[in-house]
Amino acid sequence: MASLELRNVRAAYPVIVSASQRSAFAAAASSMSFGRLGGGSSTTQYVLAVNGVSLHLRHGQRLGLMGRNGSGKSTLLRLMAGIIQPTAGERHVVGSVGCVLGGFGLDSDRTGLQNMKLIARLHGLNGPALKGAVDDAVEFCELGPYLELPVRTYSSGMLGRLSYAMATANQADIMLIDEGIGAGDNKFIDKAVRRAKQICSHSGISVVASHSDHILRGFSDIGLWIDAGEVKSIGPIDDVIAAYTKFLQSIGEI
Amino acid sequence: MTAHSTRAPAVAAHTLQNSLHEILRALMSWRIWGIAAMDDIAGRYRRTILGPLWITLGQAGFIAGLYLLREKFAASNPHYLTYLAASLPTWGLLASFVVDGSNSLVKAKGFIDAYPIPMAIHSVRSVAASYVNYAHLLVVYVVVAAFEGTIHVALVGVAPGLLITMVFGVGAALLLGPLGARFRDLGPASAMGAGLMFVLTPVFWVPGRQQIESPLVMYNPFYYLLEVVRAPLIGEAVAPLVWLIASLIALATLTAGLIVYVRMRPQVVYWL
Repeated sequence: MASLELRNVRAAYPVIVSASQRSAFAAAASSMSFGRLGGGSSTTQYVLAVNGVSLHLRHGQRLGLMGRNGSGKSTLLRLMAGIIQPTAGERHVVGSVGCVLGGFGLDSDRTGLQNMKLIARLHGLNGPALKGAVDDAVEFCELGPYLELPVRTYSSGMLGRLSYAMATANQADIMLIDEGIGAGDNKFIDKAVRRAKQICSHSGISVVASHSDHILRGFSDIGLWIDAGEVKSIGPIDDVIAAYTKFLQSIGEI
Repeated sequence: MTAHSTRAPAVAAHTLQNSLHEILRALMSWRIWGIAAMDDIAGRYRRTILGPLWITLGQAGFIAGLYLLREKFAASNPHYLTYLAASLPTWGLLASFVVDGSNSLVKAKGFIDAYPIPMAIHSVRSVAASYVNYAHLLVVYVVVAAFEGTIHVALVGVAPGLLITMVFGVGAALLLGPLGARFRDLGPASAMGAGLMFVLTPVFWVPGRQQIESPLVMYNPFYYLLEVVRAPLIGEAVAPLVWLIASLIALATLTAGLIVYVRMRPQVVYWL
């Protein structure tokens, strides 16, 4: 049974503004001169992107993340995925994780098909399991002859299709999807939603971050509204969307 | 965004444990980094007709060039060709541990950002890729050694030598990968350092007794790491002191690598 639990997690990341912050020589000069030379690496600022978030998702639950740009949605997804380790708090995961996050992690010079094989291998698949996952993704993404072209020729919607198809073909228990899925057309999004529901019916979990009510309602039954790295509201998807929309209206953003 | 602070956040003990566990998982995922490493080398030559044969040809050309200048570097050595064919690839291996190690995580940024697989896989993958490259370079050695008839029973000593360099390589990748992500001048600096050490270390020149006792060689860690592999390849026994010092260097590098990786792991993703 899949389970995803975050206990009071925090993520703080450094704000990099100058080259001297990233220089080993500047850091050495700074520490040897007690901070008088080299710009001082101690002046690096840290931003708390996620601050004290706790949640526990159990099998079959589908979560939708909403919040303004920079509110911490993507950081929260990457924390859930384990790509970022929390600077405080704990993360407990039961089940395998598949994700479609920003950047997609594709090699732009390889063809779509070669990328699919590479991703499958990176996830430890081989032999018939690899072939099965790739065949499944090929069928699902409907990219047809484009799969023989280098990925750098793809549109963002096509990249989203490929990544989503691969992430779900792995039969992961927990699906984490960033807003990149929004680049897909409506037909694909509906297909993606059916797929996510199907995964959740096999005792999986899905989490999607989006600015689109259509995507949020389609993918999720629970909503989480995050602002300034803190949870504002969590509950049934329609209630949370309503609260969030009301907030956006109150500050004049819609 | 909220709450700016100027202090790096402290790292919880269980996070350190996770990082250590991640290294173990990465080392055990040999199927993943093995294939990725072969792919790295093949990818470098994907658009060429000769493919990875370029590595072998380049090496042969370099050895031939230095051999033409043999009177400058090794007037008295009758097997200078074998010496070069053993020495240059082994140096290339050590240098790539340092240079590729510094870039291993930066280069893998796209994958690290996208997939929750143990990050240390990318470090181990760069070490494995160095060995794949090394195997291509050794083709020239095999041809030359067979031609000069210098293959000797001492060749079995190459196995422990390679094991020592492997420990050094993994240590260097774990040490320099996170540091190279944090400090972006480490990549160029290590490439420059490797170029300098190539000249200072007896790679293409054959050291006389006097030179071996000079501080430049005696206090040069690369000399010992090079010697444990090269000596067996040219049919010589490795001095016990060289074994000992090379092993200590490798273990010290691995220890430093584990400490740095485990401590920096939680923050590295942000610096990529």
